[in-house]
Amino acid sequence: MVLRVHLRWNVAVVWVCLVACPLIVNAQTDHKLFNLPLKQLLNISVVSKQSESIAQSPGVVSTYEARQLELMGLNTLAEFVHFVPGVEVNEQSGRLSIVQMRGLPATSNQKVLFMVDGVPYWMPENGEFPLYGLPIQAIEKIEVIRGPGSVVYGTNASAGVINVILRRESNLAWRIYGDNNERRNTSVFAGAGSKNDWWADVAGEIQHDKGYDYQVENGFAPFDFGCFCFPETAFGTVMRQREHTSFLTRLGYKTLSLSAQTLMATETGDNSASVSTPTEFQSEGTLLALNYRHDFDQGELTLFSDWNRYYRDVEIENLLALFGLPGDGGIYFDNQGADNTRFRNGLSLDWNVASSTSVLFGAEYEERSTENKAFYDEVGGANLGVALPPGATLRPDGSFLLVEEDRIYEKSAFAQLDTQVDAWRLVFGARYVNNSDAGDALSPRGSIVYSFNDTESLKLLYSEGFNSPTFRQSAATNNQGVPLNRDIKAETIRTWDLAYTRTDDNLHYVVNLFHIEALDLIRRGENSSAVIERNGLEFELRKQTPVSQLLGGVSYIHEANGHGDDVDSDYASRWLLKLGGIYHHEAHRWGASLRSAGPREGVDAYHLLNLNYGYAFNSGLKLFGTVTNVLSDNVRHPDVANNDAVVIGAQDDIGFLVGFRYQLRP
Amino acid sequence: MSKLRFFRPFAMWLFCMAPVLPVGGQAEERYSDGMVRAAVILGILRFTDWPESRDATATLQICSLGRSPAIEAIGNLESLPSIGETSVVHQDKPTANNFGDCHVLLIGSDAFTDVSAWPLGLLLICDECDVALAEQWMINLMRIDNRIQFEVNMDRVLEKKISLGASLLELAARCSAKQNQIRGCDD
Repeated sequence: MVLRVHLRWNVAVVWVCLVACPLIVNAQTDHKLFNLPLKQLLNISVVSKQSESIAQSPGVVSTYEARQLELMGLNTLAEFVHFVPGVEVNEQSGRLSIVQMRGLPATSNQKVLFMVDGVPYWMPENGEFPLYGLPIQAIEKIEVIRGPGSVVYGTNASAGVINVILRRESNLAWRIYGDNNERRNTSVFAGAGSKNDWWADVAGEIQHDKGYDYQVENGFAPFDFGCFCFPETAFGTVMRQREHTSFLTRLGYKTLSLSAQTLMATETGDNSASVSTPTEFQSEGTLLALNYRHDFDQGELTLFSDWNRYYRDVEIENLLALFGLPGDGGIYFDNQGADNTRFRNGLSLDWNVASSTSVLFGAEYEERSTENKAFYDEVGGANLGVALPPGATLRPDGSFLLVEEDRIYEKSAFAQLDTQVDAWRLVFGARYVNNSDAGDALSPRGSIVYSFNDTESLKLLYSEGFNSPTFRQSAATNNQGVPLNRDIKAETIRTWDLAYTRTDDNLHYVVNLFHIEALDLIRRGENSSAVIERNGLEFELRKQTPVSQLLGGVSYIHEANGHGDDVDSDYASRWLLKLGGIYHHEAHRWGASLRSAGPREGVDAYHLLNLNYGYAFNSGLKLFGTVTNVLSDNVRHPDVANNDAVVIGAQDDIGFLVGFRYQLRP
Repeated sequence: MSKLRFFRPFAMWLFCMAPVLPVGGQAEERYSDGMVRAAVILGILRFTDWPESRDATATLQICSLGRSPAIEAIGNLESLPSIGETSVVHQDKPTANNFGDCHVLLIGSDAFTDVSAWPLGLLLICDECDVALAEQWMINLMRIDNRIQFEVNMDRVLEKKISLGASLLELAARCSAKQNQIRGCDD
C-alpha cells in the first residue's frame, strides 16, 4: 500500500513538473517568423513531425474516412473495419464479433489491438473490445495497421492494430436512421473551442433494436432423456438484438486533453452455440484517458495515463437443460465487474536529433485485473452441484469457478531510430516487456523504405508482435468449468512485408507480399507446438477525382481454406475482396460497397453488397437511404473461436434503412 | 518494490530534463513544419492581388477546410499578422452563409468537398494535397528535403481572375501554365 502511494506521488510529481514547465517556457512567439522574406522562409529547415504520406510510412496502413464509408452504405464501426482489405469480422456464438487479420487464428480479439485516439480499450479478462461502443458521429476515420505494431503500441498488437481517430472540430453533427428490423439509431456530436486554447466536445449514440432471427447450425443440443444422451447437433434460430447507449466527452487545453467514454449494451443471442438457451448479454465499459503533449523545437514529449473497465455478464435461459435439468442461469463476475480493469501509465519522447534523424523513446507501466467469474443457476448456483462438470470446483454458494481473480503487471520500454539517408528511410526499434505472468521478451522491428521519387516507394518491413495470455486463456478451467492443466506462455508473431506503393495526384495503390510465422500461438488455452505460417498478397487501391472516389482491395492467403498445416487455416478465406465507390453530382450522392470472402470451413463464399443514395440540401441537411445485402446473400461465419462445426448466420436477406444527417458546417 | 524501482529512474530523469528540453533548441533557431507553412502562406499572399469585385484592401479572410499542419498552426495563433494595412483573419470551416467572405480557401489533405461552384476571386491553397482535389488547387504546399516549397497551377489561378506576382512565380518549385505563356512559369 505504501509502495503504491509512493508510485502515484512519483507520477503526480512528473506530471505537475512537465505540465507547468512548458507553459512557462513556451511564452516565446513565432511572430518573427512571419516577418521573414518568402525566399528565406523557403530555405528554413523544419523540424517535428509532419503528416506522413502512405508511401513513406514504415508500415502497411489503411486509412478510411468515416463519412466516406457512410456514403458507401456502411453504418457501424464493425462494418467500417470489415471494409478494410485483408480483414474479416466474424459474427460468433456468444455475440462476439471477432476481427481476423491475414487469416491468423482468433479465439477472441486478443491478437488485434483496438485503440481510441491511440488509447487501448479492451477487456482484460478475454481481450474483447467494444466495436459498437463509440458514437459513430464522433469518428473521423479509422486507421488499420496490418501486421504487428507491438514496438510502438505494446501487447495485443501482434496481428494488427485498429485505431479509431475521433473528430476534433467546432461543429454539430446529428444522424438518425431506422431499418426494416426496427433498429433505430441516433448519434450526435457537438464540438466547440477557441482558436488557440481550449476545446471541448460531447457525443452520444442510442440504439433501440427489436432484433431479428438468425440461424445457428450444428449447435450444441440439450440433453435428450429419450436416448439419455447429448444429441450431436442442433439447428434453429435465435433472436439477435442489440440495444446500446454510449457517451463520449473530451476536454482539452492546448495539448492537454482529458477524455471519458462510457458504454452500456444489452444484446441477445446464443451462448455456446445452443439454440435452446436464448441468452442476454449485459456489457458495460468505461474509458478514461489523460494525455499531455509538449512540443519543443526538436520534437515532442507525450505523457499519458488511461484506465478502462470493460466486462460482460451473461444471463442464460434454460441453462440447466444442457445438463438435463430445469432452470435458468448465468455467468457473472464478482463485485459486478468493477475490478475488470486496465490501467496504463507512460511517456514517449520523439526527438529530432538531426534534420533527417529522429529517435523515439518510451516507457509504460500497465496493470490488468479481473475478479472471479463463475457459473450460477437462477437461485445462486445451488443446482449446479448436481450438474457440476467432472473435476470442477464448487464454491460455497453453489456456483463453479471459470476464471479466478488475478492481477497482472506489465512493464515495458521501447526505443526506435528513424533516419533518412538520401532516398532511403531506415527505421529500427525494439520493445522490452516484463510481464509478471508471462516473463520477459524483446520484440524488434526494422523497416527499410526506398523512395524512387516523390510518388513511388518500395518497403521491406520486419516486425514482431508479443502477446501475453489473457486471464481467460490462462484460467485453470475451460468454458464449461472443466479443470485444465495449463502452462501457457506468451506468443510471438513475426511478420515480413515487401510492399510497393505508388501515390500520385489521383491514384494510390499498394501491392504487398507478406510472410507470417507465429510461435507458441495461443489457441483455446494452450500454446501451439508447431510454427503457424501464413503467406499472402494484398492489393489496395484508391482512385479519386473531384466528383468520385473508388476504394478497395483484394487479399490472398495461400494457406487459407484448408491449404495450411494447421486446423485454423480451414477457418480463413483464401481471398477477400473489398470494393467501394462514391459519385456525387450537384446535390446527389451515390455510393456502393462490396465485401466478399471466399469459402472456408462449412460456409460458402459470400458477397455483401450495399447501395446508398443521399441528397444534400444547402442547409447542411442530408437525406439518405441504404439497401443492404442487395444480392440477398446468405452470409454465414464458421466457428473461428473454437474450430467447431458451428455456423452462425450473419445476414440472410435484403434490408433497407433510411435516415437523415445534419451538419452545421461542411 | 519492483514498480518503484522501475519508475524512479524515469521520474527523476524527467524531473531533471523537463525544464531543459524546451530551452535546448533556442541556440539553433528551428521551427515546426506547420508554423513555417503558415508563414509561407502569408508570404504568398503578399504577392497576390484579388479582382476588384473581391475587395481585399481592409481585411483578408483565410478560410480552411479539413486538417493539415498549416491549418493547425494558423488555428493556434492568437492573431494573424497584418499584410501592410490589411488585417488577416482566419475562419475555420465556413458555413454556406459566410463562404462568400473568404479570399483564400486553405484545404487539408483529408477534405473532401465539391469544388465546382467556387466563386471568382477565391484563391485555393492545398496543404499537401497529394490525392484530394486533383487539378483543382491553385497553389500546393509540400515538403521537400525538410523545406517547405510550393507549386502553382496558373491555369486555375487565371480562371478565378486572381493575379500572382512574377517574383512569386520565380520562387515556386514548379509553376505550370498549359494554356498561357506567363513570365516566371517554367513550363
